[in-house]
Amino acid sequence: MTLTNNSAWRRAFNRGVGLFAVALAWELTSRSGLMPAQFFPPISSVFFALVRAFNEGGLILDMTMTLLRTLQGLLIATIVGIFFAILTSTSRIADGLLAPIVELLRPIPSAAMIPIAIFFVGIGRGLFIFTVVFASVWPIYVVTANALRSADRTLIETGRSFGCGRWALLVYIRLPNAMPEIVTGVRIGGGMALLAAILVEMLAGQRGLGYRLFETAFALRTAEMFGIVILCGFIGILLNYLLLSVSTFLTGWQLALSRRAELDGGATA
Amino acid sequence: MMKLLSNMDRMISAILGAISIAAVLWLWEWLSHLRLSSGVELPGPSVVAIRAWQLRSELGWELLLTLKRAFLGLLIATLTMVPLGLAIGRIQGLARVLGPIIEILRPLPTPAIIPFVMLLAGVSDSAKIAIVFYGVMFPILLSSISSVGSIHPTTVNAARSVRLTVPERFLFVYLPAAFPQIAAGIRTSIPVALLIGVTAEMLLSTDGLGVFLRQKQESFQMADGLAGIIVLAVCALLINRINLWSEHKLLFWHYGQTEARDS
Repeated sequence: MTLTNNSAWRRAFNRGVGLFAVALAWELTSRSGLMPAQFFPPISSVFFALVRAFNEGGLILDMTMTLLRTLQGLLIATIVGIFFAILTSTSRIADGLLAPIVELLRPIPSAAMIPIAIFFVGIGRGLFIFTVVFASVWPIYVVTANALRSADRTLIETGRSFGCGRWALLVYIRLPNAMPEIVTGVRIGGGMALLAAILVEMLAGQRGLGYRLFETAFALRTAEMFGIVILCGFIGILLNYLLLSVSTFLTGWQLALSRRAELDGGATA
Repeated sequence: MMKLLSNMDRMISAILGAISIAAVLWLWEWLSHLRLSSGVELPGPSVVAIRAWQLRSELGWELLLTLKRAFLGLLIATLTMVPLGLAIGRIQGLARVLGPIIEILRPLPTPAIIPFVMLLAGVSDSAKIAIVFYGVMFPILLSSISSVGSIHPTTVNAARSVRLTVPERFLFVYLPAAFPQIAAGIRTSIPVALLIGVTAEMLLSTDGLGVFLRQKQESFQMADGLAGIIVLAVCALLINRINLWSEHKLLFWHYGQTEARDS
């Protein structure tokens, strides 16, 4: 226990040193005049510009808007993706019918869909939902469908011998068994969702961090722009942390089980 | 018997696929003849196909520009990040120095760096290639770092015991051993490169498919925009197919092994 604690501390320490080194390198590069200071301000002035922007207000609102748009789209994409994955993994006919459509739609870059979506739903909440869902539903769907199909034969046979029907197999065996993969798919989708949300904000305005980025860039408030870039990274970390804690909540039991199996195996061997 | 069954399977899914595509086209055509109350007119597939044919030279040219940018960004990222990843995976000190930097930069969503690149490099071709490069560098770098971990220790020890020099080890042992996983990383990066390419064009370009789509939206030419999207989708699908096929050809030894093991 102390050992894991120690390594966690060490990792935090390493990260802190790394952060400090990056910040120092940034400050020095900018101060040395290697890059034009107008386009690459030192991190200290970025920090002050960010503090000023926070004091002016509105920045917190923009951050929450970006995060909420991402989460909202991701939630819908998760429900839709898992629903269709269940459909195609249980019914051969549904799979045959949907496969070509998925294969055609999946590679379309979500950015390319934005102009068409503006045409249909206008600029507003619908545009965000549509684009974010379109960007993030594919990894969730593909990963879940694969995981549902590749359930271990022994597990399925065991379930059958306990008298499980199709739905019981799905609910009690296939879905829990696929949970780690589903969670991974949602995390990949989360990255795509955040990207899409920022993208729509850049293209269609309507506030949010993406909109702020372009506003400050065009006004040549570069220090503030860099601050917003850092905030975007922060939102990315926050989203990842959120999804990670949900995933350990959902799949922690499986991890514990496999760890115990390993321990037992070690004891008998 | 097994073979016959799988052939039957393939035929059934091909028939189902044809039915579903036909149904979608029919539904789309039918919808386009309804006049929606909001006044939005949806051009049917026949109209879109005609527009795509009429615009074929323009569409082809814009598509070529977009593909060129996506490809160059991907190529530069592969050429720089695969060696870097292998080096980070094998050399402890390097991992300790570069690890935190990677960890800090990785969660940054790609569009967030577009304004910065715009200030530095304007709207030139190299600006867009740089953005694509940034968008795909982390997946490629991370997959090559983790691929090194999957090399069997015996392989490493064997390479050492026959006294291969360090560059020889990297070139003839680590790179081939890690290649299947690296190839998978590159494969997942292809759609990302296309996405970032189109995005970068929409935000800061004068030409390319991204600009084409945006202009058509702004001038309310729905059919042209849909034609552009369909051309892009078909092209992306083809690229994916070609890539999978060439990967199988190139990594015949790897796939041959896994198939032999599975059967």
